[in-house]
Amino acid sequence: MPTWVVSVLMQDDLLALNRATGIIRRRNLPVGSVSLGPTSRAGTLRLTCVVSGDRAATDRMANALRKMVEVREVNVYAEAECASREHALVRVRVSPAQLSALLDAVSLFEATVVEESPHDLLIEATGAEPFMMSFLRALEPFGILDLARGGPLVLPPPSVAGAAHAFRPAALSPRVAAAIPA
Amino acid sequence: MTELLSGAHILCHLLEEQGVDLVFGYPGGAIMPFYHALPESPGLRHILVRHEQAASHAADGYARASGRPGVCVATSGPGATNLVTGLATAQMDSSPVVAITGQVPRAMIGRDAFQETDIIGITLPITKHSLVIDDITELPEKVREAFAIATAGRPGPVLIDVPKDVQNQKMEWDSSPSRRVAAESPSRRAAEPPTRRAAEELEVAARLINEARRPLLMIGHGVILGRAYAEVQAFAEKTGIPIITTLLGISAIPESHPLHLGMPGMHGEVHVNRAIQHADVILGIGLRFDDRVTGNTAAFAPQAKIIHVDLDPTEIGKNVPVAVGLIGDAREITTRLSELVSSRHCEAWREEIRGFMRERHESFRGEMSPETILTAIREGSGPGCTVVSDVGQHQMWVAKLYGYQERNSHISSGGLGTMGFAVPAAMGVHFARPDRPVWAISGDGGFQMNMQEIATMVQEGIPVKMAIFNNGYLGMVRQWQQFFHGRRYSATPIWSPDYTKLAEAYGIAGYRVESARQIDEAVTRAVRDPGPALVEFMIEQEANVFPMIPPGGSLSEPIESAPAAAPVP
Repeated sequence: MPTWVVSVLMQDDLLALNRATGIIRRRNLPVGSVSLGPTSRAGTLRLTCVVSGDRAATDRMANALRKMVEVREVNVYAEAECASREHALVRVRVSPAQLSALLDAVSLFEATVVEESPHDLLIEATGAEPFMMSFLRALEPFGILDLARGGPLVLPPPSVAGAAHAFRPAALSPRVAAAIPA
Repeated sequence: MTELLSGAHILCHLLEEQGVDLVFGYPGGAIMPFYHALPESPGLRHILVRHEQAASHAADGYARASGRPGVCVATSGPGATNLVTGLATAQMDSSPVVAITGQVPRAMIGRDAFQETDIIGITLPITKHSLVIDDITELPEKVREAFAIATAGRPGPVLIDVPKDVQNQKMEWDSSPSRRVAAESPSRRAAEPPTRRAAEELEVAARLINEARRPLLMIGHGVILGRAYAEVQAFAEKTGIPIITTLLGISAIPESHPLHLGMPGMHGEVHVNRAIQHADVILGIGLRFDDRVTGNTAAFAPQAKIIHVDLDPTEIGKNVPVAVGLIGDAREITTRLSELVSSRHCEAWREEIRGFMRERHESFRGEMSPETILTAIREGSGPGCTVVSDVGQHQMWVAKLYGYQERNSHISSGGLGTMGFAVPAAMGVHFARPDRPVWAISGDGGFQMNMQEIATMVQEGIPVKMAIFNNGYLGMVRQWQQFFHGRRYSATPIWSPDYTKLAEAYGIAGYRVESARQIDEAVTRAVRDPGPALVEFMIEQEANVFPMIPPGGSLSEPIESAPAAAPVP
């Protein structure tokens, strides 16, 4: 199955988030990851959802999201056409004997040591998904104590951004309309 | 001039401001401030139902018959959850219902307080939108927004959840009529100028229609919601294209019209489905090509290029692939399309369709055929009558055999298929059309789901006439068991009380009809009675609805008689 990135710009509101994830769930497509964060526009969140499925089913999901009053824009991209980065924080066990080997790995992957203690290091890394997987494989022999990974953050290339997919729902309410800059 | 008013008082003022004069509801703890304020708004008539589900169906019935939003009110917890089926019904059939629920005070939310339930969470998938009033200052904006969203574009239900302490909060409020803001009705809003692409697609559609040899019009609820009756009829008359009406499109065009063909789909007439299978172009207006209409979509209209007109862009291509999608108001697009198509008659094609027609062969006990009963109801009720059907076998008979002549005179739960809909929805229809007769036609199963509402009719003086098609079975399920489950009538025989005595207990007129010669008199007496009345028709126990496309089957393969020995799955 092809993989798609569904990028949703929506109002920063918990109820809206609840509504959006409900819509995603009800389409019953395999969801690889969901990430959420603020955007350059105040009061606006970007919900990024990676799904596998045929294009028509993915478009149906996007169309259902577009009908939400709080949603401003929905775009669907093939995963391959997007810049995509993941972020990870990894706590790794380390003995004095292994320290230099671990620091070698950290520098090889251009990662950063965020915290250190006598028995473990907290390491931060950023990269596309395959890079992240090999980074984690490299750390595994040392002993991964804990791990936090964000889903992919995705931005489409400039040529694709703002393409034909975006439209505003007909039923835009006055309150929401007022919140959207012209 | 402003005065200090409670949230509940302001809510009542806002309802009046939005043109609401009728509310179906049921009081309870968390909505008590609203009920305290209500008597001070004499313009708001409250109908006390016997179960909140009936309030949501009644609001839905009112909305469908009047075209204006229907309002229902319930308390938190069980009151709110009882609205759920009615909201889901309204969502599936695009009906503008505004539901107002009380909620426990804000400080109690999330603590499993008495009668607390996350009604917003529960109703997210079955409402067009939902709003929580977090503070009294949000009340005016959010209530106006709720009404605007419910009626805008493709209509749908909106829920407003109001914590009890917000109903009791106070705020300065200017209640003078000059301050009142009319509900923005985006359907009346000036249409956006058509884009060049839309204009091109319109031309492509017109060319397809002009070149078609076997064109069909399929019209759905959107034609009724968009009041596109005259435009669609004019289009059909100009082009000579025969018209198919989906279950919710019924009564968008008089059935006596020479171009009217009938209902398609699972229980559609053979000639209607066959016409679809032979069509080369189908112009669908305001329908969603639901599975009960299409059967197996892979085998649906195999030769047809489909032109789909819908207000909701998400419907285009959702269920069937389309050649052209035209997004917009049914009335407007039909008018523009009419200007582009050429006049003709399609006589050869209509002759071909006439050749597909079949005769009905079925005998009924006491000659009580559904057609005989429905003809008597139609003739006995006179003009202007609205028929609200429930769900099941009788619903299909009412859809196919009544012979609707007047616009929007057939109301039924289509998408959700909600048993128990007819009786409460008919109460709502009565308030939208107070001077015209309303029949609620149910089976013996569906009637027993909401028959408690007879008490509401008596208390509030609602003269709905109720017909019960009593066959002692949950007939449609029994029919499926007969056809597809080796006649194993599991849990479908259903006992009924003596409905004439039930009527007597409620103090209304009640009649039992056991043979065809009693039909006219019972119908006439029920219609003449100034109050609610009930007529029970004892029909053939194992009557079936024919023809039938088996679920998931192709429209080309109807079942036209009961299978002799049905296989056990």
